Amino acid sequence: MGVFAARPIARLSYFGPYCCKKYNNSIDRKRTHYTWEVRQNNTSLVFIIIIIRMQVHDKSGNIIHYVDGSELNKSNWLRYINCPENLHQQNLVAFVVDESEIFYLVTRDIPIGQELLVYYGDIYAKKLGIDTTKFS
Amino acid sequence: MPSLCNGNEKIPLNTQLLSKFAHIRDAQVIYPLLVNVESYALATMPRDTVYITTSSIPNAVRNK
Repeated sequence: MGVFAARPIARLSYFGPYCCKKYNNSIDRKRTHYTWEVRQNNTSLVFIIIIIRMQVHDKSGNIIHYVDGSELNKSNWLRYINCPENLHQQNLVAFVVDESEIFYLVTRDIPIGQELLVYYGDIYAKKLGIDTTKFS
Repeated sequence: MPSLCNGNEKIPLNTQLLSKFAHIRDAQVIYPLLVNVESYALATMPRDTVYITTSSIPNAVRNK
């Protein structure tokens, strides 16, 4: 499944927050595939592990918490946004507000019918068999 | 139709392409629909903005 634009979406619009369960326990993290790790350094937002997982780090790189979108009844539609295969396809970037909430920023105008795609980081991309050099 | 001059020949502008984004609204914040936290993730989708169907990405995770 993927998410597509039903109407033109302007650049610099943003979607969010990525609604889901938050926790600090790394053990819980291992049993789900829909988790972001949240750290204090906003630039180090990384989508990790096998399916859908985000992490947000602190300024020292420490994990603040994990954001888990695996449960359908505790997450929202942003969980359905997929990872692009190359930089050209990407039209969203993830960012963190107040070291807590995750939003997706629209980086270019999206016409009707185009799929919304956000890069989840090299680790996740490699799990999908994507050539990560296309994003450097 | 507007046209560009290229030497002696005129090349028609693709006005359809130029107007492709002309009607896009200003950038905006698009929040999930306000629903009960226990409701299904799909129910939070803003239907006037996006829809969900089979991904165009071949290796996209199925049945997320």
